[in-house]
Amino acid sequence: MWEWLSKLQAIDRRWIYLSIWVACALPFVVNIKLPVYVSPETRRLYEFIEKCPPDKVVLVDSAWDAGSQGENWGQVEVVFEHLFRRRIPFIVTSVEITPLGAQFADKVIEKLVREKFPDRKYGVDWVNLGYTKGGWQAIQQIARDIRQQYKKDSRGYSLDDAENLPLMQRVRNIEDIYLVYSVTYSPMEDWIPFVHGVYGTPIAFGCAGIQSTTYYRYLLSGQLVGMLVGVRGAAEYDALLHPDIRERNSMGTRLIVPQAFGHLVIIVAVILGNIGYFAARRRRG
Amino acid sequence: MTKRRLIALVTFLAGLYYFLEFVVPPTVPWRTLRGEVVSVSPTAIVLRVDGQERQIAIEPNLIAYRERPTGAPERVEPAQLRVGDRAQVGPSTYLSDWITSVNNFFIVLGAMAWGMGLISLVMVHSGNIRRRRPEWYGSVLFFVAVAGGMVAGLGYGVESGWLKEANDVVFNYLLRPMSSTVFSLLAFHMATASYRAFRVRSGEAALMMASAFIVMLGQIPIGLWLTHGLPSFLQLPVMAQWILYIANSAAVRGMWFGMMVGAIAVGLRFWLSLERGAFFDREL
Repeated sequence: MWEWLSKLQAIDRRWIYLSIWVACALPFVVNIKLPVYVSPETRRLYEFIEKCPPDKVVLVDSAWDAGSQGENWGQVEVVFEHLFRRRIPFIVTSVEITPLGAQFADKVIEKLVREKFPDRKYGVDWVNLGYTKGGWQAIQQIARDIRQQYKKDSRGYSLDDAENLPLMQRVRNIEDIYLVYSVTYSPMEDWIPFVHGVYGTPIAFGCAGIQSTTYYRYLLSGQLVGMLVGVRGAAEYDALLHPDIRERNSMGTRLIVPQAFGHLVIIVAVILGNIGYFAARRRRG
Repeated sequence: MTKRRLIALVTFLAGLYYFLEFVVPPTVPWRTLRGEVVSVSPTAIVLRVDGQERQIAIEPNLIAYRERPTGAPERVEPAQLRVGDRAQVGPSTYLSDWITSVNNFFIVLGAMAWGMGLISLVMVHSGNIRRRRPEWYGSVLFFVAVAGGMVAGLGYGVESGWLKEANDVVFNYLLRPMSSTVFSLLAFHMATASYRAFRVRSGEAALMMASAFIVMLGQIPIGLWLTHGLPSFLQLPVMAQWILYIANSAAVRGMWFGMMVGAIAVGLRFWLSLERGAFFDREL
């Protein structure tokens, strides 16, 4: 028996590939929705947005693209939905990381406007300022005076164009911003010293699950008001937005199912590998 | 040698500017007044400071900061101050006046690095084609891709027409699925790598595996389902949160503390051009 069990540590990797593929693909074939545990970092972000006063604006730095859309799409989708629902205007920027960030944010917003909020208008409920390069210098200038960094929005309207961008007429600098929500694979920590540190503006992150471990310390210190971690964060936020599980249809809610099955496959594979390892040791005596 | 000295000098001055801009106040401290604005005229501002009215002549180097309701200062032109504002007014130390220009200079410099990268690629690939190196046709594809990407990029924000179509094809139907595919491969590699490498060979490895299982199961709904009947501190999502918030944060803080001390040391070496290595030892 030990000999047979020891073979478990040398399973052909193609079987592992196949198992992962089936585990991740199955939820797309069979419609499954799973209840989620809402973590404190997600709940804090949700509650913080709930408390936003009506005259304030949220700045969303959406600096992600196709590479991390599996995790980041859901994270911006649920927050945009929340902002649209509460009619909190928001400004989208895409600082430094990828030139495609603004385009992807547009896609998420277009979908929400088409399916759920057809009366929301560009320039009034949201503005997309597009991509800018510059790292921390750009962040510093956005905080001091947003017009120092952006002269026009992504559609070519001047920020002083009151007819097309009425929203921007009441936004000058970071003092008009209630919250900065930075979403990307690995958000730039420069938002914390240059914006929260100097002006006290609250910051929240949406990041890939694997990157989140480096940001938990900012939650403990209060330098982040909340964080959405990977697909899980998006699914949890969707659960807060829609207490009835049947109403949840965001990207996060859909992708948490393949992630759950994928994790299970990895755990089972590791357990099998270790059974094989111990069997081989026992066999050798 | 001249180039090297020039680079060292520019590097030092750039670093010095940011250092001084950070530590030196924007206005001369002993000539700066802070109080409530009583009146503003084209030539002077009157502030009420400690119950006394003080007049300040508006000169070209005068800087005014209006205090926002949160107490944060917002720089304004002296003439923009209004009666009743809380303001801080004083002659400039000149350093902060240049911050926007200096920032813009570095942003442009950073953007130029992209152009440099493109020029470098063009030189390498055009050389491949000219000399008919092996697989030179791959270099032709590079030029086609760059040209196609640039044209397609012009279609961003366009409502209709062939430019929009080109943008859709390149970004939505090529780049997006290809990037997602490459990233998705990680799941397969992580699964096999964990299977092959994760062995309980010691007590530390067992501890690591136990915490990995708790965090992995705690991240997904199955973890909640498996342990929902247990007391809350034994539920997997709660245990995973404890590991992430407490144990993980302590370790990450320790690592980052060490890394940042190292970064300060390396930053100082760069700033003072003391860094030595393969690149820095070469004569430029």
